Amino acid sequence: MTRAPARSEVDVLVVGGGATGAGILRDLAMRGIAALLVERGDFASGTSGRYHGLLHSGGRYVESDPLSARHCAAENAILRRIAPAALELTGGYFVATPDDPDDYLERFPAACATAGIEAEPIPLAQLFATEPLLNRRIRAAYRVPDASLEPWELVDANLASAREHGADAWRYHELVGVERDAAGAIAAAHLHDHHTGERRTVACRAIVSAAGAWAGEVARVAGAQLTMSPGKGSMLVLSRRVTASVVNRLAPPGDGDIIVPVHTVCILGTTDITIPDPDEVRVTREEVDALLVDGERLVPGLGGARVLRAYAGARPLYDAADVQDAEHHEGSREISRAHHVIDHGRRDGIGGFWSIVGGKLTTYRLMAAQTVDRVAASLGVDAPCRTADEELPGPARGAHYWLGDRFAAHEATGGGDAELVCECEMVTRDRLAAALDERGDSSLDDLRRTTRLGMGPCQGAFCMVRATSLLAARHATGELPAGAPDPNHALLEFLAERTRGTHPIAWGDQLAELALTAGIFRGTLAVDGLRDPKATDGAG
Amino acid sequence: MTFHDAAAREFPPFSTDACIKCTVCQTVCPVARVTDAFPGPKYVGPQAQRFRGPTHAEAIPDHTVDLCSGCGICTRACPAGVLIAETNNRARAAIVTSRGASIRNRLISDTDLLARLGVPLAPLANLGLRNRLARWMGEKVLGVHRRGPLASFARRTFASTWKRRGGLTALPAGADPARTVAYFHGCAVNGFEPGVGEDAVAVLERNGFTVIVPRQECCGLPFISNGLYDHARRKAQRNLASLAAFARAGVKIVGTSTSCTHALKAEYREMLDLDDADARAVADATWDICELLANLNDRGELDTRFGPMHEALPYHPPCQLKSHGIGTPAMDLFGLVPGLHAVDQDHDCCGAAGTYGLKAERWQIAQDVGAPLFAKVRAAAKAGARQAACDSETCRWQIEQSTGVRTRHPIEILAEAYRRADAPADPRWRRIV
Amino acid sequence: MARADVAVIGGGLAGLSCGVALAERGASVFVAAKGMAATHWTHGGLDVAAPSGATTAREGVARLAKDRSHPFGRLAPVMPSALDEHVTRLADAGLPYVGGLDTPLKPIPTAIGTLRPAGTLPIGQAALLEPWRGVGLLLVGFRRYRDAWPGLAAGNLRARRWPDGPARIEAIEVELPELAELHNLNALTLARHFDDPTWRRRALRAIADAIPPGAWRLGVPAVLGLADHRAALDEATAAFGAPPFEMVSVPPSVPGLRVYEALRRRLVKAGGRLQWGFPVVEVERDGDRITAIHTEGASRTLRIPADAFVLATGGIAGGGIRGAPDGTLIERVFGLPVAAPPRDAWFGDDPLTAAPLDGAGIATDDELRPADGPRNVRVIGSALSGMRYLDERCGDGVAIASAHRVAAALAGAGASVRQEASA
Repeated sequence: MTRAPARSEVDVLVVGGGATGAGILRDLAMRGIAALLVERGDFASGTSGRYHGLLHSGGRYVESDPLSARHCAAENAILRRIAPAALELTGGYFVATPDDPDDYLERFPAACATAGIEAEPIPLAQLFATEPLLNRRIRAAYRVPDASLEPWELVDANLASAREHGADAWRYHELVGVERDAAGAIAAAHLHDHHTGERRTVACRAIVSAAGAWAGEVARVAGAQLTMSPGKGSMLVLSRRVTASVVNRLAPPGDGDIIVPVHTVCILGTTDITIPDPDEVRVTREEVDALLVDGERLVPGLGGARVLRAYAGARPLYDAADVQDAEHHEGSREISRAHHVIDHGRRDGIGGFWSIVGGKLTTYRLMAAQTVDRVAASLGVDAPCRTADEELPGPARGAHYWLGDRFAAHEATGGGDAELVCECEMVTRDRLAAALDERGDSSLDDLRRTTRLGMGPCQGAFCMVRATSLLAARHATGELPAGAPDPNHALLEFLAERTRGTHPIAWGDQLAELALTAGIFRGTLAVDGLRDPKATDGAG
Repeated sequence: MTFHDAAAREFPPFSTDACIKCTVCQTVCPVARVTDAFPGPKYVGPQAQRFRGPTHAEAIPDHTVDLCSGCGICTRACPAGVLIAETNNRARAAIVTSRGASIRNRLISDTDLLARLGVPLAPLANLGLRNRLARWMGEKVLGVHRRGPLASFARRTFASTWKRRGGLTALPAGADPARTVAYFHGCAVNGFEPGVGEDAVAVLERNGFTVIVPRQECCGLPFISNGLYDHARRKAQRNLASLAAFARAGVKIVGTSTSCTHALKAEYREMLDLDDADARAVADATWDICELLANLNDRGELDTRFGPMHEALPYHPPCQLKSHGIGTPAMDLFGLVPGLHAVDQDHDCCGAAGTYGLKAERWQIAQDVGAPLFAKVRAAAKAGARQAACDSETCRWQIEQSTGVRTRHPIEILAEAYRRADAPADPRWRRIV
Repeated sequence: MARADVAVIGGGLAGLSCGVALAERGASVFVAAKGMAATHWTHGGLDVAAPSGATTAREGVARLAKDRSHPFGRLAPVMPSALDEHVTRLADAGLPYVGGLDTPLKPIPTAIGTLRPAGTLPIGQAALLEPWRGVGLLLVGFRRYRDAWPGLAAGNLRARRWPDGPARIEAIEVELPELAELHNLNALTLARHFDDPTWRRRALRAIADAIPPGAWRLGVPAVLGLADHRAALDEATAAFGAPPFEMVSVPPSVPGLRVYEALRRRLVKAGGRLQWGFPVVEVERDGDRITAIHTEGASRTLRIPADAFVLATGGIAGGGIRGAPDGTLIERVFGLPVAAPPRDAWFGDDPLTAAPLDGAGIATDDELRPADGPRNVRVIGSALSGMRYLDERCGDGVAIASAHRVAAALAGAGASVRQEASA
């Protein structure tokens, strides 16, 4: 990664490095618009990196939001084509448990047909043959084209594509101010580099806020008032694939009603609680209980399953009344209730400032396209959107990933532990080195997002010092860019982050794991001594 | 016990959920101890299991798990209760299903077939087993190591001797089920070591049991170890069909092979998913012969009038025995024989692991695994021990082949001690005393 | 299974020590262990007691003993004889320790480059109790070996205040023979390589050749042999010109394995019986006494009758205590009540400092009988409540003192225990 210049100039500055922002950046770049994306943390570290990992078939919204359902169905088909490396084609089921309403079950096939979602009724024997742990009292099942979507890979691929088309993206850069011209329109943005503490200015003609749940804060910086109403969605990471496919309940969306296989684990989701601050997304034990109680309806005994950790994301929900453009622009019927593009020029008199709010990861590309359509038009660019036509760059073009591919590749070399840094997720030394080559200023948590370091049962207990020593080796030789985190700090931060995520689910094997982890770090390694090196420890 | 604990017992791969990554299993694995080609139980077990799934069933990611010998030591060492060896075995079966099994593995697993072919031609077949050229050919063509531990074929199968003798094959009317045992001889006794079976019958009869030898086939364990579950299941189903009636009648099923009895007790249910009422009844009724005799002794019902055997006896408790969870009953029984100084050789595994040590590409690994044991047994022999003891046939053959020390089933030792008690006047024994 | 005088449940430091002590006192002992655990995870040194502020282990014990609910509140008086007996036993088994209760606690470097206090160390770490006197510390790693971090540790140690520490601190990484092509390279692989005299000679020479000029004490990964540790250590001392010391990182701990193996052999030699892979699944009671335990078997349990039972199953990490999803803690063998803070108060926000949950365990009377539990059960080791062994560094001290105390009580009372049982 090249060092960002102190002053630069683009047409459009995109704020927010989640899926929507990355999608917008790519779309802008493909239309020939000079663009830069800034993200205050790591890419996909906000809501995109903290969701359940589902590529919706649309089946979940056929009743509650038919337009959204249609969008999901269409985008699902497009992403299968353009983002194979970020997808595992697990397929999905909608199943009716005894607790689910009859009328919903009756209406479901027709609603799917209307939305263009293939929903094929499946004999229960076939369902239980492929998903033996599901509740045997399930009454009906439909197969739908759900899939498992890896958000970090997707965001990385969008950013890589954008770069190929001439755009750039800077992480750990926060928008802290804007300059406006005499007409009140956006002229430049002030950025704070969190790694170096430096301040940068980027001249631009437009700013697009794709900050999701944080859009209110970005709007405030730009001088507008936007009220978001973030919804906390909490999820549990089950230690293995409880199901091989995505499993949804045939009922209006609720708490523990979906299981998504993601790489080596399954995600059980999702609660929905309105929260005041999108940064305060701690999972409570009450949410854990609610998820497991509901999850039991899908997989009896789930309450006794190993849960590795709990996490939550902040849904980018908005106050519907607050985002109404005063006018109804043409084609507004095509805008789903689920997401909304706000032209702050019209709404607040800040020309060139746009916000995209709401939406879901599955439709990120569509949201980007609709946003860029309007931004491009305002800049006088009439190039059409081509993001659906061109495959994203990825490790193996055209190939969807599958559960065993990382292990199979390692086994093909003879296997063994010598090269494994993270054993649970089979992260090799080379893989980590490559991630550091690409982004030398990564923390361990950033490396986790690109490599899955520390995401397995031991939550980093065995790998985090190994990884820290790799960071330290680069640190010592000066190979790391300015602002790269101090290795000890990276270790302590990662240890705290990994440990806290297990507190809400500390029982059974994971509680034992936590105790073993404490033994390693507090006992054998006396890691607390890293915090205050000048303290005399050890004796006396 | 939660649903998942229960599911883990039924389906060992689920048990890997309990792994806390502590690495204890790595420290006890005898195969990883001797070869870099095997990454050890933590890697091929709970770690690899996270990457195995029903999707892409055609593309099995595994290679290295096939080197697991299945000794089961990892499972017993695990503080978290993960059924590591059993999970590995399932993974091997998936490899076999996906990529097929070699003719060699099919052949050496089919012990019934081997006995059917070998016993009638015993003199010739044994010549072949001892013939260097033939064994060399066997290695080149089949992949059975020229020095792999194979026993000689018996001149007559145990089953046909039993029939000739007019032995019982069904529960006689009026028999007391509590004093009746159904003897599961297994293919080792049937085709290779009928003497062990004869001694077992003699010891059981001496303790007041009526012995029946029911219709039976190979327990199927060699097939299970080689990942050929369908073949194993067919054997298992026929055995269960024959044995369940005895079990239900309250007759104990007793075996001299710790492998066969473990298959009846555990593998049919845990590995072959044959967890029905028949399988449960048979499992509950099955006893290892030393387990049964030690249990009789605990209750004061064993005939303990053993004649003296003033000798040292190096003893190796085999892995399969340890998986029974019954301790080392043979050691308890040896302690009842006056003068007999049995010494547990305190070594994890002899390396044979059923058919593992036979395979050309595994033979050296098996030798290396067992090497410290062989050294101890050789040293014991040098110090005067005339024989060694071990409960499992392939382990006996491995020890015998690798050390040149005659290695016998504990029941043979006990039978000899009884015979000595019966013939106190024999001058040769009196001299020893 | 023949009746035992005492059945010990658990085969860690406490269980094995208790088993050996009982067997050596003439009792018939059966040690039933589910598996192996904490011995294989920890550093192999003897953390007797090093609470903050203590200058010796003796002082540490005394300080902790002031709290009557701490195990040392009961065990402090037996600590000296327990430690004596333990280190004598290990020395006899070929694993001598240096230091003791009155040895000043010294800061010793960890694998990550922090310092922790120690006063009793195995021979392989004995050099750490020697004064540095101007000698430098040279941390050694091996190429491709992922669990030694000499560069990281040296950097951290250089940044520390280390009173009377080494004159200078450096790190080297050495390429050892034949390891470049290995698929598996872990502490065990290396320890087994160091058991091979031929390879060991070459490896030690490779390390010696890489030592920079000057007077150094070498800190090496804790892999200097498993079966042949003493020879490896002696030859390393000769090759380096001074005794090196071993540094333990993540499990498996080779020094811990040596302790396990020494105690295991000792137990067998003393006539005790040890079976692992034998989790207790059932308990027989008669009024306020336990009459037998049952361990898991392939199709039926193994019944182990005994006069007395010693619970040495460890705490939460070792698996003796398990958390239920509802926040209750369960002692897994006898279902004894577990003393613990309420669930919402288990953890602080900071994972690096003491958590209230650390003190959870089984509360006992002065004879280590569980409060309100069966009368012929004793609890030893980290299953005991009231200690925070990670902060107080007292886990080993409590394990061996409680084992010693219980063994002495049960062996002494063997006859009366049997009479009581039959009455």
